[in-house]
Amino acid sequence: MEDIRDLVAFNVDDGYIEALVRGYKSSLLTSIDYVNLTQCETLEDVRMHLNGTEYSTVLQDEPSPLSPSVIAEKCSAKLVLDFQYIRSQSTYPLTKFLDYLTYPYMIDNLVLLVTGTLHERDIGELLEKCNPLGTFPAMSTLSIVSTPEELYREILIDTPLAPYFAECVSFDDLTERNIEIIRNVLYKAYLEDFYQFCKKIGGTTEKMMCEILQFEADRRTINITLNSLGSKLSREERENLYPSIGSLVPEGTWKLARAEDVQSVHSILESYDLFRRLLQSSADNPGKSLEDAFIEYEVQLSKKTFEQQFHYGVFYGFLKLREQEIRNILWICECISQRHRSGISNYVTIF
Amino acid sequence: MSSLFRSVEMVKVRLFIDRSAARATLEELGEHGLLQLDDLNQDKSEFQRSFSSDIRKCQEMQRKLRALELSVQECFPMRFQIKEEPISREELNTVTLDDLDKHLSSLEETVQEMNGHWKSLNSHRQQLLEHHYVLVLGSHLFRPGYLSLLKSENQGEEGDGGRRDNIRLMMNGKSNLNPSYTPVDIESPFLRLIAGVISLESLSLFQRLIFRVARGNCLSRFSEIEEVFYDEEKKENVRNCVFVIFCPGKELGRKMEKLCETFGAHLYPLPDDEASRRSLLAQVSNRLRDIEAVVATTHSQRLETLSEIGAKLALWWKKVSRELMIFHCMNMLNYDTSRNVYIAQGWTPQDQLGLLESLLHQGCQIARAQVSSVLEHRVSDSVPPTYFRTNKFTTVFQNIVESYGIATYRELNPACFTIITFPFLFAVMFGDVGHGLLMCLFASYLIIFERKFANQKLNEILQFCYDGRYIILLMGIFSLYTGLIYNEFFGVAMNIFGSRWKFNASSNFACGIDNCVDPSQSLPPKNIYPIGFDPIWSQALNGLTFFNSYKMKLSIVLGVAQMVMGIFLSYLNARYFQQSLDIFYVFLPQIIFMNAIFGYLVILIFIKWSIDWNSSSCLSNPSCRPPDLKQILIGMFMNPGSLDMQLFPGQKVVQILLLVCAIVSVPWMLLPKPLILRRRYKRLENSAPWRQQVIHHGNEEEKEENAQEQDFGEIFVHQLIHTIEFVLGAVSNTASYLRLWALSLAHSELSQVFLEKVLYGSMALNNAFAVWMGFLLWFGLTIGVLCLMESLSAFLHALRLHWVEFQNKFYQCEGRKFVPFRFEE
Repeated sequence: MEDIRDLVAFNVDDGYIEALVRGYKSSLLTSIDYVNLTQCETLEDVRMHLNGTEYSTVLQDEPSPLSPSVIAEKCSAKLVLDFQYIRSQSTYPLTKFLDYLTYPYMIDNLVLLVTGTLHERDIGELLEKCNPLGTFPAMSTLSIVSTPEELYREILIDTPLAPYFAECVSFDDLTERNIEIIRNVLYKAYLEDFYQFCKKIGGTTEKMMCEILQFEADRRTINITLNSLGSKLSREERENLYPSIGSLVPEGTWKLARAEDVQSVHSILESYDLFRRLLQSSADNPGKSLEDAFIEYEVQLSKKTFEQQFHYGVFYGFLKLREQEIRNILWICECISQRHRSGISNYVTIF
Repeated sequence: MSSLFRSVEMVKVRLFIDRSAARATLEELGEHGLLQLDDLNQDKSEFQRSFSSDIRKCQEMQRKLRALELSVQECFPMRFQIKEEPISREELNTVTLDDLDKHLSSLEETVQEMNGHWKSLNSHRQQLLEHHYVLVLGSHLFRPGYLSLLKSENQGEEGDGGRRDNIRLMMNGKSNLNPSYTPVDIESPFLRLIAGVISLESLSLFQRLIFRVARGNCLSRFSEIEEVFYDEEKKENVRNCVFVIFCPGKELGRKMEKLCETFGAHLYPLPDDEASRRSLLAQVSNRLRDIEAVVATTHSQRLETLSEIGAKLALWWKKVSRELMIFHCMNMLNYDTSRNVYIAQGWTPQDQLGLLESLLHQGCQIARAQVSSVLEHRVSDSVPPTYFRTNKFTTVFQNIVESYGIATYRELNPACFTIITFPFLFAVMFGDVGHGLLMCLFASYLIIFERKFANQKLNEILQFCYDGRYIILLMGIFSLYTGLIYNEFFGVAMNIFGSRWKFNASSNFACGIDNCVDPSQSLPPKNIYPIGFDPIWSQALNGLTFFNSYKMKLSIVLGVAQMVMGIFLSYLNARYFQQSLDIFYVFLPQIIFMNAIFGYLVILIFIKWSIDWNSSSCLSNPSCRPPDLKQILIGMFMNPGSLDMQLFPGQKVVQILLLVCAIVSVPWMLLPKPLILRRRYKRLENSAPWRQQVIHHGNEEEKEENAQEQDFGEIFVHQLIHTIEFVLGAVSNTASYLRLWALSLAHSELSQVFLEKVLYGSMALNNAFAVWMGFLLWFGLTIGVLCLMESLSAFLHALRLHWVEFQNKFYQCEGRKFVPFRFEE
C-alpha cells in the first residue's frame, strides 16, 4: 500500500531532486577513470584527467604545485555545494531526512573540537579540519566550555544534537575517555532516532534505509567491542553504548558485551551469514582489514539504493558514494605524491 | 546555390608538415577553418600525448588570466558588459606565448602583492574606524542620564532625537539588572568592561551566548554602525555593530573575552573616564585621517595598474585560447621520427584543396621551414562528413532542417525547398494582412539594424528572433499574400475594389451586381472580385461554410503537392546514388500509390471547382448536384463498381483502374527489393569461390551464412516497415495537412472574436474612455495572442509538416556534420 503511495505521490515533491541525484550518480568516476588516474605520473596529470570529468572546474583556479589535500579539499567543497543545493531544493520530510544525514558529521566535528581544545590546539586550525557538512551554530565557541553540562547548556542546546546529549550531562568533566563515550552515546541515540524517522516515512524508504542503518548499527557495535577489549570499560557500560537496532540485537549484543578477546568476537560473528562473509573476505586478502570489508559492503549497499525508485535512500547512497570517491582520489593522489606505487590500487571501485 | 542543394564534396587528405612548420601551418588552418582533423593518437590518454605539457601551461595561463580578471572586475564592474571590439591577427601576433607567460606571472605577483597591501591597509583603516565608532557610540553609555533615557525609550517615549539619529540602541531584554544600581556599578573596580565590534549577522547568537555564559549576570548594550564595511575576504558588504559588555568578576570577564574572540569580534579599549576617552578619540581620529590619505593614493595607483591590465585582457584571453586550440590539434597529429615530420589527416572540401595547399605553403614560409609540406589524397572507406556552405540568409533554414537530422553525405538537402515552402505553409495558417504587416515591420527592423544588434548581447528571446530574422521576414511577406487572398486585415474584410455582390433585403439573398435578374435567386456576379475573396463573404451567413470548404480543399491540394514532390526528390536521390533498385521498386510504386488515391482526389477537387453548378443547364438537371468528394473516395474502395454521381465521362473505369494500380503497388513496394538483394548475395557467393577457400573452418562458414540469412531477414523487415509506414502514412499524412485549414480557421475566428467582442463591444458603449480601454485590450490581445502565440503555433505546425510529412518521403539524415578546426569568432 505504502509502495503505491510512493509511486503516485513521490514525484510531486521529490521527483526533481531524485532525478538530480541520479544525474550526480551517473557522473561518478568509473573504473576506467580510476585506471587512468592510477597511471598518472604527477598530480598535474591527475588534474588533467580530472578536467575531463565531473570535477572539471574545481581545480582550474588552483595554482601549481598541487597537493593531495588541496585536491581532496576542492572535491569535497564540490560535494558540499551539491548537497547544499539538494537541501535547498527539498521540502519536508526530505529536508529533515537530509538534515539527519549531516548529524554524524556534527558529532564528529563536536568531538574533534572538544578533543582539540582539551589538548589546547588553536581553534582556527581545528575549524579548518571540520567537515563543512556538519557545521552548527556557535561551533567556534566550543573552546570556552569545560564541562559536559556547560557544553550542553551553552552550545548544544541550539543544535539538533541536544536531545541525544541528555544522557551525557551527568559526566563530571571532559576527559578523553568521557569524550569517546559521549561520541558513542550520541551516535547510538542518533542511529536510533534516524531509524525511527525512516520507519515513520515508511514505504520503500523504510525498506532501503532500515537495512542500511541496521548494518551501520551492527558495524558500530562490533567496532565498539573490538576497541574496548582490554580497556577499563565495564560490561554494562559497553552494553550501554550498543545501539538498540541492528541484526545483532539482542542475542549478538548480549554475547558481544561479554566477549573478552578478538577470537571470541569472531566466533560470535561467525554465526551471522553477512559477517561471516565479511570476515572471510578480510581473512582471504592479507592487506584487507575487517573495516575495509565493511566499507566495501557499505559501498554495495549505497549502490543498491539506486536500483529502486521513489525513495530517499538514493540521497544517502549518493552522499556515501561521493565521499568514498573523494577518499579514493585522495588515496591515489597520496600514493602518487609519495611515490608509493605498489599500494595505489587499494581504492574501492564504485562503478 | 549548388552547395545548398547537395553537400560539398569532401576528400580525405594527409598532410606531411615539417616539424618546425607545424604550429604555423595549424594556425593558418585554424584561421580559415578548412580541415576536420582526425585523431591519430586515439590509443593515448590525454596526458600521454606530446603536447600535454603545453596544454597544461596554457591552462595555467588561463588560471592567471582568470585571477587577474577577477581583480579587474572588482574595480571596474561595468567594464565587462560591453562587447569587445574584434581583435586583428596582427595584434595577436605582437605577443608570443612565452613572453606572455612571463608577463602574466610577474603581473600576477604584482597584483597579488598590491591586493595584499591594499587588504592590510584597508583592514587597518577598518580597525581604526571601528575603534572610532566604539569610542563614539560607546561613550553615550557614560553620559549622565543615559539609563533614565533608556528607560523612557522603553516606555515608548521620544528621547533625544538628535542623538538617536545615527545610533539605534538595542536592549538586551534578558538582562535583569535593576537600572538604579548600575551607575554605581560602572565605577566599581570589580566590573569588567569589554567593548568591541561584531558583525550584525552573528549578533543574535552572540547575545544569546552572552546571556547563557553569564547566566544573565551582565549588562550588554549594542548599537548598529550606520556605515557599511566591505569585507575583503568574503567580497561582500557587511553591517557591523558596536557592543559594550559590563560583567562582574575576573573569571567571567576572561570567559567573555574568549567568547568574543571565538565570534571573530574585534575588541577595543574603551576607557571609563571621559577625559581619556576624549584624548583617545582624538588620537584615533588623527591616525584615521592619516591612513585615509594613504588609502586614497594607494587606491588610485591600484586603479591605474588594473585598468592597464584590463585593457589588454581580451587580447591575452584570445591569444591563450587560440594557442590552446592549436595545441589540442597538435596532440591529434602523428609524429614520424625518421623523417622529422608531423602527419595530419582529415577531411576537407574538395573545391578548397587549392586554398589548403597555399595555406600549407604559407605556413612553411612563415616558419621558414627547410622542407615544404606535402599534401596527399587518401582513399577512405568511412563516410565523409556533411558540409553545407550557408550565408546569413540560408543559415536559419539549414538549422531548421538540421535540428531534425544531419543530411547524409551528398544527399539532397531539404533546406533549399524549405526556404519557400516553410514560410508559405506558415502563411496559409497565419493569413492576415495586418498581422503579416506587423511581422514584416518587426523583421525589417531587426534586419535594418542588423549590425547594431550583432555587436550587442541580446536576451534569449530577442536573440532567438534575431537569429531567425530572415525567416520571420519571409513569413510576414507570405502572410501579406495569403491575407490578401483570404481578404483579412486584423479580422476585417477589406472592401478595396467594391464588392461584386448586392444584398437584397426583401428576399434575404445576395446576387451579383451585374447578374441580378431574379432577386429571389442568388446568382453569382459575372465579373468577380479581382483578387481574393469578395468582402461580402465575411458578412454572409454561409460565409464560414464557404471558407471551410475552400481551405479544406486547399490544404489537401497543397499537402499532396508537397508530398509528391518529396517522393520525386527520393527519385533524384536514387538516381544520383545510382540505386536502380530504389527507383524501380520503391519510387515507382510509391508515386503510383500516392497519385492513384490522393492525386486523383486533387484532380476531383479541381474538376469540382471548375464546374459551374449555378449554370442554367445544371440547375434544370436534378442529377447535377455538387457531389461529396469524401463519398466518392470512400466509395471507390468500398464498392468500386458503383457511382452515385458522375463528374466526368468514364469515371467508373478510371476509378477501377486506379484502385487496381494502388493495390498492385503495395506488394510491388514490399517484395521485389529484398528478393533481388537476396539473389544478388547468392550470386556473389557462387561467383566468388575464393571466399570459401579462405574460410576453411566449417563453423566459420556457417557463421557467415547465418549472418547473411540474418541480413536478409533484416532487410525484409526493414522493407516491410517502410511499406507499412508509407501506405498508412499516405492516408495519415494527407489528413495531417488538414491542420493548415484548422489553424487558419482558428486564426481568423479568433481575430474576428477579439475584434467584435472587445473593440466593437467597447465602441458600442459610446464612452471615450471605454473605447480607449477597449482599444488597448484589443491591441494587447492582437499582439500577445494573435501575433505571438498564434504565430508560434503556426510555426510549430509548419515545422512538423516539414519534418514529418515532407522529409520522411526522401530524407535519410544519417550524416555527421563537418566540424573544421577553426578559431571561434
